[in-house]
Amino acid sequence: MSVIWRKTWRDLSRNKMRTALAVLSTAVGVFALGFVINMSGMMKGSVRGQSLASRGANIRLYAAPIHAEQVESIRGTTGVADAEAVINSFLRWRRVDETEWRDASLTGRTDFENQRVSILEKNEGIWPGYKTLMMEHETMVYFGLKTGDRILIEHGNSTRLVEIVGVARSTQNIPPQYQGAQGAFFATPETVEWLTGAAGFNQLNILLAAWDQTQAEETARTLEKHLKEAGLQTNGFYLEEPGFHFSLSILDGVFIILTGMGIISLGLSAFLIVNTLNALLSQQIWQIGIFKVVGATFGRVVRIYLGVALLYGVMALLIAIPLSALGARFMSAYMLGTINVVPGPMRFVPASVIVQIAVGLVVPVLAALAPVIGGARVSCRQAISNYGLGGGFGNSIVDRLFLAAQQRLPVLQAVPRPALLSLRNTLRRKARVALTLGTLTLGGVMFITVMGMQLSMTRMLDVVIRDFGFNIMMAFDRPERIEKLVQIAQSVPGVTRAEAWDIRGAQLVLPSGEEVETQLWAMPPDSKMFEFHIAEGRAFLPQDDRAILVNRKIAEDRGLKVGDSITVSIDGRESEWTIVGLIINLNNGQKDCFVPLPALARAIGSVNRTSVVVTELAGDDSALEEAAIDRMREKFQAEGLNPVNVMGVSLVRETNKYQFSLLVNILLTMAVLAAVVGSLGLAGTMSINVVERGREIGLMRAIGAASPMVAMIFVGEGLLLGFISWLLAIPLSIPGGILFAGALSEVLIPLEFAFSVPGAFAWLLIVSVLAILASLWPALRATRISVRESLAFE
Amino acid sequence: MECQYGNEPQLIDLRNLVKNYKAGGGDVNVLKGINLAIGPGEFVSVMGPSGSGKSTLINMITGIDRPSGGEVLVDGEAVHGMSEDELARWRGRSIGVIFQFFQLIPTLTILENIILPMDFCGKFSARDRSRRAMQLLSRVGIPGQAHKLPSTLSGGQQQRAAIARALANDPPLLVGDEPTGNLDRHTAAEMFSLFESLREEGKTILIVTHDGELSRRTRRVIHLLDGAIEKDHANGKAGVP
Repeated sequence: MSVIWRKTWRDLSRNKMRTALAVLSTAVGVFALGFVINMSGMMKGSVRGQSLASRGANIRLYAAPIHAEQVESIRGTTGVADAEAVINSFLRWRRVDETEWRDASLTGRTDFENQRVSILEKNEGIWPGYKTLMMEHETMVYFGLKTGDRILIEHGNSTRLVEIVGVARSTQNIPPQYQGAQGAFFATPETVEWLTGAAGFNQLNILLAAWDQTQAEETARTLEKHLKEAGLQTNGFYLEEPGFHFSLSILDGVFIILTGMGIISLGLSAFLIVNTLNALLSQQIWQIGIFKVVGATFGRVVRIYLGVALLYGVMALLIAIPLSALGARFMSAYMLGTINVVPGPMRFVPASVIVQIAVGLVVPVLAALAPVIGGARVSCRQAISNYGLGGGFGNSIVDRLFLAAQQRLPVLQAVPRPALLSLRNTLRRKARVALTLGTLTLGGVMFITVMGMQLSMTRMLDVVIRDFGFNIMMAFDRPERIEKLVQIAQSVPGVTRAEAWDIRGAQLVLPSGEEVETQLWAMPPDSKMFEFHIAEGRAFLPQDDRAILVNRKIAEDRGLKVGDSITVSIDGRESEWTIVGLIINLNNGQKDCFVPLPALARAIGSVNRTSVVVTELAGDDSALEEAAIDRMREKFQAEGLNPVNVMGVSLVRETNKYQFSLLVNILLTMAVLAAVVGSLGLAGTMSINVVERGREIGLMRAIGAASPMVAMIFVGEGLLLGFISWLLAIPLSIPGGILFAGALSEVLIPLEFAFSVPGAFAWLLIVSVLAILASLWPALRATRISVRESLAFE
Repeated sequence: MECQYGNEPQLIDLRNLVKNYKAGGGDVNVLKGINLAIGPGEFVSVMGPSGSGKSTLINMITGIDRPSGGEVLVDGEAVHGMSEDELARWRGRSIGVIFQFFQLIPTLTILENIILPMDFCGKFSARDRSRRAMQLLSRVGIPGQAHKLPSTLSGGQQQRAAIARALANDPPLLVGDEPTGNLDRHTAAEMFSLFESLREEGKTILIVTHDGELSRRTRRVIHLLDGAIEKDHANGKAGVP
């Protein structure tokens, strides 16, 4: 090893604190980016892998009753790799020792041993036989059930006791925590019929030989047409690309945001490297002078110190690469657990390793360029005459203003001398202070912004459901006369108002022939239970016939305007509608459009009959809602109407809150990283200050400053920097929040910016604690400096 | 009064050397048109009160600082016209500088401090550097300190190491800015003996000193006062080299 490398290495090991700070600063930024990429790779890999392994259906076609021969014939269709029919049904269940009934889906399969499409993976127990059930893994976790438990299933006016004989994992079932606490059970078709009365397959799961969206849609339509021609009642289809998982679209959005935050953290790291290298060079400036005296050129000096930066980078990588993989594995295991995916084995995502190595080596060198070039440019004479007490205060306009203010303002004159010293010291190394403040402020902006996002999301939830003037929506297994539905609902105690609605899957046929999937909500034109938020045009008028309110998002994406005429395909029937207004409705991925119920009834030939009822209650709390749901269910079942889908608005709110809390948690993790970077920056600056001012500290001690006083001066300076950064972070978090909300709206959910006052004050508390912690160690080090050592040359 | 020389080749040739510094109240004229020639193998001391321009003069000769006017020729090379990098390479090769506070790199051992200039200049092969550094340490009398860090050595030992470092690339000229200023009288005298023996080996030595007694051991003494040469004399005889 050359002498210079030996010197570099010894400098690093001699100044362990500085090296640790520089390495950690770099490592945090590299870690943040690596963590996000690793997590993205691990999560998406696991999700896709599990979905592909389960041979998830590419087409889910709803039709009834499907016969075995039809399934066999579909298997032989060109482009179809395999097909399997299942029965989908709903049941109500409760534990033996409970009184509360819960909703669950029940899927029936003929042969669990030889599943073909959307395969269930058995985790424990045995496959279900006649009069036994198997539960989905997340249902087991969410409700705390175990194999061997017996549950009660509602059956008309009586109940049936059924044993759960096993647990299976399904990528097709959305976990209860994401779907209004709805569980999932599996059984044989015979058991499904025994429990719910439903007979005959009603869902076709089709696996395609190759994936092509257009081709898949065409195949689905052809098959749907054939089934319809064979006399089956069809209810539309869903297309899912291979590896699809309900969480993937959310994950994509989250990771775009997280990558952005990772890049910001890396930028903060770069700030810290600039700071550390500046300090290193200012401490070694006389050594640079000596290098030059004994023959080192500018280029040589630059190479020496860039080498130092590179070494910091290499050491940071040794920390960041394994830790980011471990951290990502830990976090993704938690996140995957919440979306019912088994995390794959611990691995290094190649992209993450490559990106980390690239940024871990390049960023420190780039960040070091300016300070290194500046240091290497110092002339020999300046470099070797770099002695004595440091100056740095009194020359700039800021300093002069400060001094003038001090002379004129009695408040500042009353400030004790040590506090004044903290105050002036803060202003001494302005570039360093600016960089430290920059990192702390950005950390603060990230934290306050994330807290604001949490508030935005909570408000957004209210916006999503603010349109709902009802408390409960209930869909039944068959249509009934509107008057009867309303009358039954109104007779339920606690229900103050009821309306009959309809909800149907439909396609908007664009002039280009392209079809856009939508969900049509149909309600009385004078509905009192839905509040439209009109962006353009108007709401329904009583005399409206085929008037449609189109979601503003669809209109913007597809270039639709108020006044346009549009073809809507409902259950295969096409009809012409006029767009009378564009509405803001955030529900259901902004895919919902609205029509008057009578017009829809006429368009589909189902006049005066529907299968959906909505009710309004006297209050809004979830207990009231649950009780009312139970009473409504009883009433309707007594009239022979079986609810197949029930939505309580409070429950929707809780479910959404859970989903958002996951997102907020992951964003907060990144904000915490930013706070760590910020406090590392402060600790770095403070310890550099202590080293630089060693002689000054010695002098203060020589003239009577006791250790607590010396420590207080440094802690005071740290606190002051923390407070200034807080003051700066507050106004900056407003544009930051607007940008962030914009980015989240773009990739995930439409959010409006909100400023979190508690978040801002929480950050003040955090930054104060961090400032004290970050300056305490350097301050204690300052108290250990002896007068003799510090005032002696060399 | 300044010494006048004939046409013999000079190692150091300063022609009308001027150095001004900017200060709060305007320019300060530190060197006021110095003309000075020093021949090869001379042992010269520069004396004068604080602020007379001694260190500035040394900085001009070593290229550590740049003149405001005039010329600095060392061994025929125009030091005043060199770029920073040319100066660094030239210094490493042609001149050994010794400082009052030794200025050894604290994180390098004594041996490594001496190898450092050889690494920078590449005059000696990598294989020979360590051996040569050991020879130099023996030459200055501290071979036993080779693998110690500077902070563990006495002032005298550190200055001996600094002299060895100055000799690393075998330069013809050694320049010291108060090299004994931080040493006790006994050690300073030893240091001067070392300089004398180096002069006998053919090195040219130029040192700034405050110590009149030590300066008498040099062959020639230059007295500076207010940025000008007040006296330039061979030992004991003012005005004559």
